[in-house]
Amino acid sequence: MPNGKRSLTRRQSLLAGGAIIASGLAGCAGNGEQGETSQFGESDPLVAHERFGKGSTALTYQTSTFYTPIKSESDQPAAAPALKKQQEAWAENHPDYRIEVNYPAFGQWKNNLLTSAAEGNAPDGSTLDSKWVADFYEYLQPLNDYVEDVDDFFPFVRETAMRDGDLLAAWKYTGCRCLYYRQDILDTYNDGDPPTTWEELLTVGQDIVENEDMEAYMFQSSTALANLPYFWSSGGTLVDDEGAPVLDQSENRQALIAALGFIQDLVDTGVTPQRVASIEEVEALPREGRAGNLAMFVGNNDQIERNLKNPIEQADDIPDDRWQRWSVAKIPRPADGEHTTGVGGWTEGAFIEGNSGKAAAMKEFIAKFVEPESMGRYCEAAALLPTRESVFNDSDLYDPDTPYQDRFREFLQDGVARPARPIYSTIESEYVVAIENVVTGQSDPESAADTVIANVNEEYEAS
Amino acid sequence: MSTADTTARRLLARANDAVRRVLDHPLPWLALALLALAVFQLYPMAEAILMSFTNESLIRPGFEFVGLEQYVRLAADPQFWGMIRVTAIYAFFSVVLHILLGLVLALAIDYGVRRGLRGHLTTRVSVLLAWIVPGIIIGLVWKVMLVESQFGAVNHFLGVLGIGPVPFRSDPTLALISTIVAGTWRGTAFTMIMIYGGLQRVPERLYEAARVDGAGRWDRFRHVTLPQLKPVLFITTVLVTIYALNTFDLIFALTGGGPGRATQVLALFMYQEAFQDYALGRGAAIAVIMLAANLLLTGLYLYAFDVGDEI
Repeated sequence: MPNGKRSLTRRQSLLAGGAIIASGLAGCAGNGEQGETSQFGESDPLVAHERFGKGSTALTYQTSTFYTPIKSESDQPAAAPALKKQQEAWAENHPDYRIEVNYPAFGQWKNNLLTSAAEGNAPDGSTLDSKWVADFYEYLQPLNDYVEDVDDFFPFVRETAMRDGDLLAAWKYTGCRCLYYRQDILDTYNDGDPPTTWEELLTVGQDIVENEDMEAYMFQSSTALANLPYFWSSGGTLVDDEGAPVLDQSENRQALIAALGFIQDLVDTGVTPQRVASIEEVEALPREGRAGNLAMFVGNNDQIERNLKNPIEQADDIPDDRWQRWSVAKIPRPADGEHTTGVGGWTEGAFIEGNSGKAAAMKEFIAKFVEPESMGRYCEAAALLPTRESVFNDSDLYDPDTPYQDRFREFLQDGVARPARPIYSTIESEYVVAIENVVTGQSDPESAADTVIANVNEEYEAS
Repeated sequence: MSTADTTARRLLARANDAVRRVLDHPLPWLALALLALAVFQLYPMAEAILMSFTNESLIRPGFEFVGLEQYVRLAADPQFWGMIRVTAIYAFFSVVLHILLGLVLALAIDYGVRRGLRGHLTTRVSVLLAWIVPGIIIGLVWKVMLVESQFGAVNHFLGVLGIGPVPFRSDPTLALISTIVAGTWRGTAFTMIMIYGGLQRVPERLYEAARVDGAGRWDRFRHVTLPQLKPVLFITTVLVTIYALNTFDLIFALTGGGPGRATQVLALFMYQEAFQDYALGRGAAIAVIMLAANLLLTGLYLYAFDVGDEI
């Protein structure tokens, strides 16, 4: 029986109960949009770690400590001043409002947010990983009236963040995966050039393993996006225009088998150790690189600054310029394939409905993240990549001194975003399981691919 | 004495009787506990059972009742049976190791206490520390220790001895063994305390009588200690089985169910279905199956231990 036919569902009963309690509490606290006086004085800062603005009407917002505007609280202190300027500008333009900021623990953030949204208790706005956006389509509110020049965004942004003409998320920056390699090692084994094809990588990798006391090539097996370029470069497509999985189509199945076969070759030849199956942390590979244990790895574009340059410069016992022996290149592709890279990044979304009062204030707050000026200022400071082409093209807005930014911009041309479809979360987890099964010899590429296809199709049909 | 006084006294006496009868009845004393049980245990359980007959999802508004469809799907899924196998292996070895090591430790501490040896308190506290620490922390600690490079403490130590590196987390078999060892390391303290408590209740005169009858150390253990410990061993085995079957936090932190699905137990699968694929109905069906498995095993233990009158 469809739920909608019942007069009062359990969820509605619970929500009603919750609403009554919340109303009571709100009544006790004397809350309300009208007739309040601000509790903040002249001496209070306009923007603090847990509050943006000093107005009497409160809005709720969740984000990560990466995005706090307060330097001392930030996991990304270099970018905090840019964010502070942006939040202060919003607060000055919205003197009646303030945003109460909550920083949830990362592990359960998405699940708790999704549960809250399903119960109708989502915060007014939240930061969202770009890969979460599809799961929140039902709850996110359009930003069309607040975000200008939507066509300026890279195509992958529009494909993911837009639904039926509505812009549901403001994609504030992006990043891509690339091949990190030790230039000095490649000088010895490949005339200084990074491997561009799978065959070349296998050949060079075997030379390195045989002659150097280090691993040749590693990747994060637990992250689908780091390994999907193998599949995309082999000509594979994950879903069709309707969002249905198409892995069972011949060319996609072959691409999946080819990608998993390449991973099996890496392990069988010793170029990649089996222990990649236990690599989960994004910092693990550059850590091995810094320790001199690794010649090549697939990493995120921001890792050159965050995990190589900065730690090496801060270490007392290593020459400051040692990080410069690390270079970046496109992820190797099959001989007859195209280069691709997975693009990610973070977005901002609004859950509050409507276009007036609080809703407008929150949506204007969110839109500010993707204004060219704030986007350029933030991306420049945080060593991240803008999602607007105009920002990339305007050196007044975006002129970073982070290493290899020109190369990353070039890699972004081959960028492929994760499909913004709910089935992607199943594809992602099944692909990771398939990779680990192949790496550890629990499965051959063909049966691993068929298991992925069967499980994804079953999940899609059941949902 | 007036008639009014007499009537009042009778009414007072009746009221006292009524109050006494109510207070003598166990229900008022149990009411709070029963209410808490109903609200926090029975209601969620009933909700989970109801939900398992639906296709409720977190990312889709509304749901429909689909009868036994979720259970049929699970039964037809070969991976589900693979996870049953992994869960059974994990639970079996966990229970055996928990009970054996807990028994050995409890006997050793009991022996130390009876002989007045020093250090038994320190030993008990040290073992208990592992039990106090949350499973997720234990998982992370073991994960760091078992890193498969020079950065892992265990592999670093083995490397000094010229061994390894051992693929503790990337080899499917070793990964499962690692989770069992880590779980046992954490949970043995609980069984030790339970069994040690049981040992304190064994009357000394039984050992003296056995000695008089010429029973040796092994005979005293087999014919006096074990039978006297039976009720405690039953309760401990039931609790450890429930703990092992429902283990989630430790495995989630240590291996995440990998490599592949080599260490994916049912609790982890339930989490994946409910909070990664957002299929609440299917997640609830797995929870109900776990509940049934727990109840079935408890029934089996009750039969095998034959302790109906002793607990």
